[in-house]
Amino acid sequence: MKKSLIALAIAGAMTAPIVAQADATLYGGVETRLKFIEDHDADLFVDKAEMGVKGSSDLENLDGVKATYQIEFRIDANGNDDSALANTINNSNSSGVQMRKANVGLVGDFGIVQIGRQNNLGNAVKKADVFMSQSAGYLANDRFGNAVYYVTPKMAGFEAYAGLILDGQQDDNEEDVDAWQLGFNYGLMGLDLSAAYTEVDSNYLDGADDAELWGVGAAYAIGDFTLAATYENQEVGDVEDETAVLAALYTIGNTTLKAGYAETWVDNSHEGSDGLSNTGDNDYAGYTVQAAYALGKKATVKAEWNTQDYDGDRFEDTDTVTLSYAVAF
Amino acid sequence: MGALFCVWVLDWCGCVFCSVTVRNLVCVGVKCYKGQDDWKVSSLVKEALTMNYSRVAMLSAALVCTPLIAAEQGEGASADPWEGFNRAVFEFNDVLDRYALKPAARGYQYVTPDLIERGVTNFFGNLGDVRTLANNALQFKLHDAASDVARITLNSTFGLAGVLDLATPLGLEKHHEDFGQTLGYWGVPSGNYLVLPLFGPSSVRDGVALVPDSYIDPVGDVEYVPTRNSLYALRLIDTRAELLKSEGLISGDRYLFIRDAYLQRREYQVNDGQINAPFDAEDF
Repeated sequence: MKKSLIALAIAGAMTAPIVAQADATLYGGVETRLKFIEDHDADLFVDKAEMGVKGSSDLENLDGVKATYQIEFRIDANGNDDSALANTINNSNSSGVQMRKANVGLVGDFGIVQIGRQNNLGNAVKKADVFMSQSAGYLANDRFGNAVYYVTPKMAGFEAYAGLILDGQQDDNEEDVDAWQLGFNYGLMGLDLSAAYTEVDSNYLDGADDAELWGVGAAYAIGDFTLAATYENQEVGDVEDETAVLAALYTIGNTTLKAGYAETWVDNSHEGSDGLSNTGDNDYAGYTVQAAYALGKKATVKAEWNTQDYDGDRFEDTDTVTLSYAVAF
Repeated sequence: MGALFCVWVLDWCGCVFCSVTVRNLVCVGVKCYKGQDDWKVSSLVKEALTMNYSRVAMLSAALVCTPLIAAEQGEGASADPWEGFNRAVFEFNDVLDRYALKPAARGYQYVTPDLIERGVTNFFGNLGDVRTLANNALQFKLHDAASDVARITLNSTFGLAGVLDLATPLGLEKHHEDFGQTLGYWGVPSGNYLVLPLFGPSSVRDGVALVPDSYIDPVGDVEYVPTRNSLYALRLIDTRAELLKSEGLISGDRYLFIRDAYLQRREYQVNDGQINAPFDAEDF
């Protein structure tokens, strides 16, 4: 259950009881995982520890419009320093707070305008992103900072959005807009479609070419069965990377069974760059099956098996079993 | 109005209409009565008459119950031409059970705390789900097969290798399927009743079906022989201990009782409880 924090601001100690109320929702969750990777020690870790506050307030001077706000952060609960045994065993404190979202917005008949650090709305194409193991090399960022988005109201299941990123600190080449995005979502009668196009300016990337990223996603639900697919394509000049994912979901009461196949094509020109093989190709594919059980509205356990198949000599093919227990609030 | 008929499950009779399960139950109209050991159609009709049920209800009840009674009386004889051999094997099994298995099961039940007993039953139940999964798939019951996958996954991981049955309370019902039922589903007749040494009541079809089922038994995959045999022994004792509570219901000729109960129960299982009775609820 979401808890409401009633923030009270009392205007003047002994004056008339004018109370300005803002209804804020505190939300978040903790997820722990136990991971068994082939030929590795078992790892029990906190996959995420997140919390945030969000809410809205009516604008008395702007009829029909609401102001929204959101702050969300993630705490690194495991400690990032590999050498620090102390960090994970002797000392339960760990450092690192990552700001995930910090944004303000306006919501009205015209749609939504949201400014600040926020979700990359283009991620709506990731319909098949339903697994814990990242078999797919998804290309789009999860979030954008320095961004402003406009989202149209929903019309017959259809909505469109446009976003701009203006990161003044990164470069001063008189290109105010460093990146922009256009996309739409459509959802009606069990069919969900999404498409997004993002372009990042070459000057911002310090390169010769703009980076172009486009993706499409589709999901169709028939009764208890859902089929989802995602395709992403990124081109920077002649360098092209792609990823494609298929997922099937079957719901039995409180249980969802999922199976997926993902394939990622890494352009050969990346060879030798960080983490990639010098020779041969770096493409990879993965199969994943998962069973997710809702213990309640806010608590879920999942068991997943994944096998990753690397074409080249970048990594050994790996099997992974992951168990997860997550509680949200 | 739901279907109304008598369903024999082992030595129990259950009315699927009013969900009552008692021994020798007679369903008449929408009510269920406890019958006598030797109840016949005539007594059923007589009882219905005294209860002032409509003629239609009586007739329907008689129609529904008649084939079952006929099956009880006639099927045994026709399906058991090997009764001589079967009785001999039955006697052998019975002696073995009386002097070895049953005392072992009693002792096991006596010394083992209920919690651990439940854990052992769950553990082997989880392994048995593998057989059920394979046979559900072979019978194209894909929803049930998917549910079995979910059961095995949850109980084998969060259920500590099957010791805890977390899946049932989460709404994933336990199924019971074996290759004999699969063959029955494919239309293979059960053949003659056959009592197997050690394995007990079976039929030609179900006896043959034990072979493929044994191939997908996870216990058979345990490579270390002493561990594997210990698991077999523990499972046998656990199964026998589970039966202790119901064997007091057996009356009369044990051989006939167990044979009839087995044949009827298998028929029920193969048809997944869907008995083909000439009955229409709208008649009422």
